[in-house]
Amino acid sequence: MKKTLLALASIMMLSCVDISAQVTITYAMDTPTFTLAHEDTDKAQTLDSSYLTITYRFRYKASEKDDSLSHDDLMDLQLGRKYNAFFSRNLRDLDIQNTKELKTTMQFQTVPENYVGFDLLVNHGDSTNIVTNRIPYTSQVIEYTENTPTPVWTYVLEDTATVMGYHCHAAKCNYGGREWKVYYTNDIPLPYGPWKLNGVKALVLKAEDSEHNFVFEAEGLTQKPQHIIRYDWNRKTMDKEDWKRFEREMYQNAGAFVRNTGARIIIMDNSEQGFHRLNEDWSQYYNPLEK
Amino acid sequence: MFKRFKILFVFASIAFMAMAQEGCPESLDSIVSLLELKEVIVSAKKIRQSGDTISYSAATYRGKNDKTLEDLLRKMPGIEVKPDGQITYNGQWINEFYIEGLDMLGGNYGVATRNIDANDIGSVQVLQNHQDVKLLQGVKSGNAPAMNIKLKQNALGIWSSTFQAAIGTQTNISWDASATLMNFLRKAQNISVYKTNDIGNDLRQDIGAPKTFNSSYGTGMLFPDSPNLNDIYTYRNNSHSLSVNQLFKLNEDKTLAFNLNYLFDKEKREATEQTTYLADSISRFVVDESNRAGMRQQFIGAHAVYKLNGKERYIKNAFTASASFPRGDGYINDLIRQRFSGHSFNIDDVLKINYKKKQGGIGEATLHVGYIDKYGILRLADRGMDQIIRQRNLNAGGAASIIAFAVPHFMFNLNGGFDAQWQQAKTELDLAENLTAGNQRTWQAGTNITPKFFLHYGQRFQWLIYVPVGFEYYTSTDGEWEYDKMFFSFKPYTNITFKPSERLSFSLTSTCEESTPAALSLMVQKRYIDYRTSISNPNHLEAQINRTVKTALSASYQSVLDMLFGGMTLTHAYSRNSLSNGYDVTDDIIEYIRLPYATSGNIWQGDQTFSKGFFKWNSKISESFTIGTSQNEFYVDDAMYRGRSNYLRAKISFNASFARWIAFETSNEFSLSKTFTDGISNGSAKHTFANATSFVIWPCKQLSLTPSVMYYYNDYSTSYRNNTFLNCNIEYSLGNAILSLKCSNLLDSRIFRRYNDNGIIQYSSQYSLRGRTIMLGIRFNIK
Repeated sequence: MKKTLLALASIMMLSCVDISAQVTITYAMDTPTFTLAHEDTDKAQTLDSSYLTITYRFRYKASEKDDSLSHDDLMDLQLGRKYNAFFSRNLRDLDIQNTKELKTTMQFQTVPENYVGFDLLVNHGDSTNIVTNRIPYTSQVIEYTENTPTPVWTYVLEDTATVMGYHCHAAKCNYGGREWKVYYTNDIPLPYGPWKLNGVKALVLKAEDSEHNFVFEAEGLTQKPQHIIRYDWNRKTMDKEDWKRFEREMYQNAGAFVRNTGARIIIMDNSEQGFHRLNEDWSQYYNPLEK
Repeated sequence: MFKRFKILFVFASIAFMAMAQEGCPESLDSIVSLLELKEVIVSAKKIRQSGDTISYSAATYRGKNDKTLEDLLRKMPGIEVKPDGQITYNGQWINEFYIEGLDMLGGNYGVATRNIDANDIGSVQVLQNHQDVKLLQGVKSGNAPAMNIKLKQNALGIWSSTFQAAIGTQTNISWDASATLMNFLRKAQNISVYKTNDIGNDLRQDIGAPKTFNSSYGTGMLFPDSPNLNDIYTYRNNSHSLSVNQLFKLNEDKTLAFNLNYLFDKEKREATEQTTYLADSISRFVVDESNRAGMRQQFIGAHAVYKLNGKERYIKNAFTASASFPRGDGYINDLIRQRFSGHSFNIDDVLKINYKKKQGGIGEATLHVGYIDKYGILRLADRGMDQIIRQRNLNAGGAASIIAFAVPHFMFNLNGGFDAQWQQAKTELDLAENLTAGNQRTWQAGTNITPKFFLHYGQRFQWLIYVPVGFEYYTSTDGEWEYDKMFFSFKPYTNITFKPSERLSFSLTSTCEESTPAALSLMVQKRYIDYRTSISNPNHLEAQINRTVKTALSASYQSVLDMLFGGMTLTHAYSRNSLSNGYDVTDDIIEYIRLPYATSGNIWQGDQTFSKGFFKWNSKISESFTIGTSQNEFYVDDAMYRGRSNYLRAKISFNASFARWIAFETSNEFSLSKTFTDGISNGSAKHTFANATSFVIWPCKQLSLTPSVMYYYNDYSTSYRNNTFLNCNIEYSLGNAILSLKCSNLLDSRIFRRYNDNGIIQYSSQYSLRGRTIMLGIRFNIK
């Protein structure tokens, strides 16, 4: 039985001291799953302008036995002189659309479960990464800062492939507890790639881990300048190791976590009432990019 | 809009790469300034595959002029929609049709495909080798694909309605109107449709109402055969239909669905016909007739399906009841008046159960009960003839597992079954005040044992064999003529499916069927099938078993991401009728009589299909090729003749949106046939060619023009070889409404020639068409 997500938006206006309206959203679904909350895109800071943007299709597992990597999303890598940004294009487009719709029709679309909730901002000036992670069912985001990773690459010159029409060579590294193989093109001599897979001698167009859990493959490319922006969201900062612990806990004790967010989740069933509250014993499939 | 470009400029330098690795701004600027890359825009996924499920994204196929789900399906590669609304995927008929995972409509999915708004469709899923029974999922794949329609979020949970009305002129006032109401909830679905028109839209198919009457009533009017041409030109109708379809999801495993249908339909046909019967090896009997006839019917149908599809048990009960009241009136050669009236009642119930057994096997049980009552009367006042025929049929059958066990990769069932059938046929023929009557009753009861073997290796390979073996006891009474006999029954079936990869699959199916003749066909008493054809069994020939063996070998290839589908099938059907019908012409009446000679028929046919979708122009190309030969044996006046027809058909179609303001569609079909009698050619081969081409043009956002042309060519005769139909539709969007001006058959083409020849009987006709029709209409949705 295929999972279906029904979004039932019930909007309750609460009076507040500063007269801004609070919105409580009830999520109704057939089976429990993590869903990202909407983020407002009205307020943002423009940090840079991109000279090249590559769009990757990111495929990953929906469950332990999902060998066909049925979840997929489109990720944009924007390359700027001061910053690089890596984020889900689908999620950003949806946030922008929902921000607009909420002001007019007071309706919005829920975020599909395959949309990726993290984004990266690489600061070339001080060689740091800011990784922002959206938390399900809440508009709060958690971010950590790290030094820009420098994976050590081994080049496999005899292994070649054609990706997006470009002739590519292979390179391998071990990063984040995973063995990665990437294909890079000497036609674009820029040492960048999707996610944190940077430092190869040229642009990475395809990356895959050895256990076939994740695949990034370039499908689009443009030199039209785009703004590299950072949104004004409710951000909480933490150490990277603290975040990794937090994230693991969040997935393994998903039911308790959701209760703590205050989100109202109901699971549809065939009882007289038609639904029941989420079971706190529930845990969500956890398979991070970085172990 | 998504396009793919090739690289124009390539730049590579080790020095620059080294500097780039150091992250030096000056070197970066150098690299960036030298980069001249061609833009690659991400193509939206038009089609995806996840396991056995192919998903077509509706948004990427939908065009501005697409109104219903059927319009969308025509654009999807691998999917073909036949003229009668039936859908195939990669050459296979769609077996089950679901909306949001629920089966509300059964086989009448035309109600959905022709009425659901194209803008409400989120995606179309094809479930290859779909297995509906949860108990068998992962064990035994189905042999045919299913289709599931996923609606957009904003189409769920709300009542939506569409109203459309148009009025115009032909010879008389013409109209076309419909009202549709739909609601798709998580636990209930409803589609209710009222339609009425007299411009050739056939409402019978969608609700399962009959299109023809004569053969099933045993007697009837001689009604001109309708040519294989678009209904808007040939179907001269006055129709009203109401269809109410409701489904309730009682719980996770149980559903209950109802369908209620009503139809009132009137149809006129007019043709000048010539039928040539082989009389002997050198002479022919030719019948020339002008035939003007009208038929009307009222049809009521009800259908209810209860389904429990759990992990331990599967129960499906389908109940059907229908009544039909046909009436007909017509003239042959403006002299012979023929009138027909009748009624038909049908009640049918099929129960199917699957359950888990302790030994690990899956048991099954089926039960079927049905009753049919038909009455027909043909009146030929000018000849003083009344022919009355009454038929009743009560049948029941069932089977259940005696033994069922399963081990890894193998399942075995031993089923026991029974069948029983009672038939009665009563005839009364009043010919010039000479009354003769007949009353035939037959009883048939049988029992069988069916061993079933099922070998399977995951989804890659499966082999099913079952061999029902048993005995049938048959008894017949017709006045003082009585007899009984026993038949040995043997109906083996096998299916092998092999999928060496996700893209390639092979299948072999072979089945043997048997049947006994209907009681009416063995009646001694002469009866008139129509005003000039009669049939009887004066030699008191007893019933015998007829057998048919059908075999099909097919191979199919699909590359979903490339939107490429293709397949080939080789089919052979052999039939053997233990008794034959031979005809003789006496006093201008074609008299068929039962003969004690067996006849056989053979059909060999090869089919090839190909379909490819392209991102460029959002286009699709489809091609199909069929070649075959059909051979049959006939008796004419105690002499046997062999008729053979060799045929070839080739079809190619293409649709594309070249730009935002223009779309194009064309379909071309060529056929060739040649007949032989006893190996001697009956003249030269006959050719036909049909082309349908249309454009959709948007001069501005609100206005669309759709000119189209349909061209038909045949070389059956020296006259009326060509027919050209010119049509034009103009639509203007005004807010929520669409105003339309529809013109069909602008050249007012009125005559169409058709031809049919099986090597023994040739038929040709000059058929009267509906003339020019101009309609002014409005259509709007309410949500």
